[in-house]
Amino acid sequence: MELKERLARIEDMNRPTQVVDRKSPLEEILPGQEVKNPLGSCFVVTSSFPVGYKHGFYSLQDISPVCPQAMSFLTGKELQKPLHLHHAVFLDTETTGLGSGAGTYVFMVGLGFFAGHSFTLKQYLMRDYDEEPSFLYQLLQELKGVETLITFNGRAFDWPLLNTRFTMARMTQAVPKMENIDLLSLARKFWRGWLTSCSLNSLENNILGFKRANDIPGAEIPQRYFDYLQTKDGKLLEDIFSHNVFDILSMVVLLSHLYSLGRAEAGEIICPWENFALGKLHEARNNYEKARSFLEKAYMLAGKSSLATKIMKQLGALYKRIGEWEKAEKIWLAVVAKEESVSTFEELAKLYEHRKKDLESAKYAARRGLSICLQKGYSAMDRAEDFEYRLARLERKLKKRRTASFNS
Amino acid sequence: MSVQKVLEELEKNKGLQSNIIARFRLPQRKGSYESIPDFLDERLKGLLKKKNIDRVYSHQAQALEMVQAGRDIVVVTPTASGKTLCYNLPVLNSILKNQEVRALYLFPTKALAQDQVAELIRWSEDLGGWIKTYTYDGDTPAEVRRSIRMAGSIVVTNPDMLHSGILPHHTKWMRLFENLEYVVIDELHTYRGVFGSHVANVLRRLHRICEFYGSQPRIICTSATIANPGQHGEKLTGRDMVVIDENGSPQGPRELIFYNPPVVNAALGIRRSSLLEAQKLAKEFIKAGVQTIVFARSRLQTEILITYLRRIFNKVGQEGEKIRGYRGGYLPRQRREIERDLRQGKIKGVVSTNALELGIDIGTLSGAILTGYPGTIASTWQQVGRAGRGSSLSIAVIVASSSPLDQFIINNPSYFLERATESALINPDNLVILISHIKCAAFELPFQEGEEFGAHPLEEILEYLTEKNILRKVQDRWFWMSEQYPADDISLRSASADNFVIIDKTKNARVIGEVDRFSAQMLIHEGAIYIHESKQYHIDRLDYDQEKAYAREVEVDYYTDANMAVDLKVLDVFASDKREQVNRAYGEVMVAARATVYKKIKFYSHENVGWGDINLPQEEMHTLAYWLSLPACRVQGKDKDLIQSALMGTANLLQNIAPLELMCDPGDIRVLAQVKSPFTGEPTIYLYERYPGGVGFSEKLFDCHDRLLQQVKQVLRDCSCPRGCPSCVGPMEEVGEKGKDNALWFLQEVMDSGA
Ligand SMILES: [Zn+2]
Repeated sequence: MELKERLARIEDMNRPTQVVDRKSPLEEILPGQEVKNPLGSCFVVTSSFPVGYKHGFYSLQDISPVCPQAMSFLTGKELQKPLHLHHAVFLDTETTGLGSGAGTYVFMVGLGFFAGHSFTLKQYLMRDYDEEPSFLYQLLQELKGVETLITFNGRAFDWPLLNTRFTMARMTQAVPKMENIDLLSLARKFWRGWLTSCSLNSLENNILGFKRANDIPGAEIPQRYFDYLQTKDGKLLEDIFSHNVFDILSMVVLLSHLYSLGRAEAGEIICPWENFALGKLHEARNNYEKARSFLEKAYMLAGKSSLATKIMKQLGALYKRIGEWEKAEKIWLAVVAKEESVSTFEELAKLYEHRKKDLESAKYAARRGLSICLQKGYSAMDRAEDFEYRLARLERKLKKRRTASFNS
Repeated sequence: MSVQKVLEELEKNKGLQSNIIARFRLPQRKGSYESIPDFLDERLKGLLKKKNIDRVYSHQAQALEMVQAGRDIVVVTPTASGKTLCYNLPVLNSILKNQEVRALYLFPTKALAQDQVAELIRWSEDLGGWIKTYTYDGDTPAEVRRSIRMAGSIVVTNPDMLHSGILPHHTKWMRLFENLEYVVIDELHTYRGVFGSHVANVLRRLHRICEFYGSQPRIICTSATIANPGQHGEKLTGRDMVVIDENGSPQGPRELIFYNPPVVNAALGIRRSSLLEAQKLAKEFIKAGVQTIVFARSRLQTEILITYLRRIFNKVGQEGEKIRGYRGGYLPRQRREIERDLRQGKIKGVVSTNALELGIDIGTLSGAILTGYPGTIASTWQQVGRAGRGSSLSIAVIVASSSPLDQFIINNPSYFLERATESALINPDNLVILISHIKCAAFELPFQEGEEFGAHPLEEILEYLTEKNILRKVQDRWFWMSEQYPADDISLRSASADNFVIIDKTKNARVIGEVDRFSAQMLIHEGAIYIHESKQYHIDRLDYDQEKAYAREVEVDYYTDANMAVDLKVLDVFASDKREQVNRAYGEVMVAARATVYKKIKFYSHENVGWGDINLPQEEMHTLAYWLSLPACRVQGKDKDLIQSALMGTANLLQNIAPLELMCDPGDIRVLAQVKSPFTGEPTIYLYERYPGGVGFSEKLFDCHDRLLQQVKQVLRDCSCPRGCPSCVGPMEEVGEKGKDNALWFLQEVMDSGA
């Protein structure tokens, strides 16, 4: 029997071949051209936006006063290379799949950067698999001298995938070391828990005031590209190019918004989540007074929501840190009135034992903590032991005190 | 000393004595030693000295020498012959000489991998601690994975993880692949059948990746005794192999006893349960102070044995705790504890499932009792090998069950002792399996014109996948053009990509296994008892459209067997041989099957204890088959029922005896008897492979046709039943009242002369 016949019986998955009546060359659809380099060629579309261009609530220039300190504040760590917008690039890729792995290809990279009084966007396209080396080469040319890479989920997805591609093309030596600011992880600090999703789309709708028109859903992009490969009909890619533009412009204004949050004072913000996030950020940088004002504001705004307990715990820890013991006690008592919190009982027990020397109250708090641990079972065994140890010590102390008072 | 006592007791005890079919004294073997090779690093020599190893066995020395000479090797090692040194020494030696060197160890199961890492870590600590060894499997936490990729000198994993976790992400493992000098494949013999055929392809993919990164690792395999270690190793790895099978480790004398439980019902062919007999023997052994391991066939049996033995020992005042269970699923720490207690003599008896057969090292004991024939000569020797400590006398007993295969072995001890064990068979070019891995390979690296992968013309397959828009050819290369992640759809443990999953609903719903579509109706119809890791599951519901079966853990004393309405069409004859008295052939067939009813069959007695209907659509499968037929002229005038009964009886025997040659389970092949086959026009017995595309059993059966029939006849003659029973031709309901005579007649006819 013919091998083909036998294969047909095994492998009956058949993906339809696209047929088009009229192929539109890319150049006809998009304002771009072919670029050549020593490794071949690829296609690039360059567009330019005036800095006053409005994208949702913000315009692109709102970002311009970004200063290095503000970024370190938001990321919560000192950046290896401070952010200077003129040495930074916004990067977003389009790929043949959502998984990682050596068979997922990056076929488009959008790069956005500020130059003079405009924001320039270069979108490189690999028109077929054989253009991958020249496409990657071109990307590396563009990244020369770039100090900061700004991405949305690029830390987990785009950049590792590009590195896989560089490895496959044996170009890893030429990849520059850059600081990566990943806006998704910043956004999560503020809005996880409040928004059901921190996807760029959700942020556009809920935070940035931007609505996409005629956008191609991300999930359809790989197949659209495969269809293009088969037909070479440039029209199929039009949506992907504009999708990529939206992504990058939204990243710019998202950074603006985050930056404005970073500069804000406690009175200026009315969202409890944002106040809470800022409080935590300030606390991390040891700005206790600022942290306190943001957290107290957050507490005030949170009402009875589930967020309130989280804020209270954070506040309790802050009060402890700055030695406001009365306030700490009050807020911890409020926490345990709402929730069976092991760590809060532990704090209370410590407070009563060491600060207030109120051994009976300490014993009570430790007992409550222990009983919760025992209910939780195996997973809380270590903490249960700590409580037992503490209780034993409290007993000894109480006994001593009783003997002392008896003797006196 | 105490073994001697047991032997005397066996002499005296008439009840036991009469069941002993045969005993052999396997002679003592002197160790053969060589000095530690000069080329080893001084640090390694120093460590060996510290461990009181001042010489190595001859096979270890040979292994070291061959690897040093750059050869790929298979070391055939019986139990407790120091196989790990055969690979650990060369690997550690290379790493000591060059820190960058990397090695990849493959073990068939996670438990084995973890054992090995524990040993390697001890070695590494003694060498200064900088040689990092890690297991990489499904349980490895995400945060450790990165350091394993970057810094693991030795990465220990299993083929499944290599297939789905490492190769598709090879760029992240660049450091490993660029510096890979050794691939160690332990327990080579377990890579057979469908699993082995998959693994061979995974290794083909591994070679491609290594080539991309410019490395060419040496391959070190170890295997239990099989008939074809070299050939199997070559087929699996695609490399020429040096076989090292002269065992240099010493071995004390060993008494090997073949024990057949007495017949309790001759007509039904029922013998006393092998489990009860094994208990009896174990009691004698342990009472006499012989540290003993009892191998049970299932987890259930293990539990029964432990309970029983503990009860006995509690009664006579000794502590029942001296009996321990030992089975798969124990944590390394628990195993270490049992090993230690065994060494210190705190444990007198261990009851184990086959977990131990797979090289997990608890050292050796003085007695071994095998409950039932383990299914292959190779694993029988592995289990027997557990008895034999130092140079003193040890004892091993094989207790037969009533199954035809057990009865053949127990009645033909010379066959067992003289035959070289079975061949491990794989078919890496099974199209179903091959095409799955070609997809994975294309995902990992584009195929280049002129490349080779497997025995079929690769370009034709690539062109086919291109037509189907799964690949795209640009210039001279084929690229992956799909969002799919092909490795995700392929399980190495089954043949087709189209699998049914089995979900255990006992506690939290979790997937416990999968079976291919064709087997689904046989194995996981509603009411079926599905066995997984020696546990029994009752299939409560089969959702055919969703390809899901819902199961619940149970403990019952029966198994289920589905009756299939089968139609078979021969598509292609690969080889045939016509003789006067018999025709035989093998080739490709299409089997259409529909399960109709199932029977509940009691363990041991094979009694039918119930049945149920199965309502499922017909399934088709292309596979390989071997068949034999009796020329029509020789059956003229014979009654049709007689022929039917003769064919059925012979077919049942063939199915049960075929594993003697194939190193497979009886369930891996299926039989079909046709009084007048549409294809041959003659009374025909087909043996077809259960996996789509086949793994090579048919060809092997065709080759050993004569021997196979002789063995079948032997079993039939040896069976003590008068007219046929489940231990030979099968139950009377199937083959009628004269099943034995009819089958004998048929065998006489086909073997008449020349055979
Ligand atoms: Zn019989």
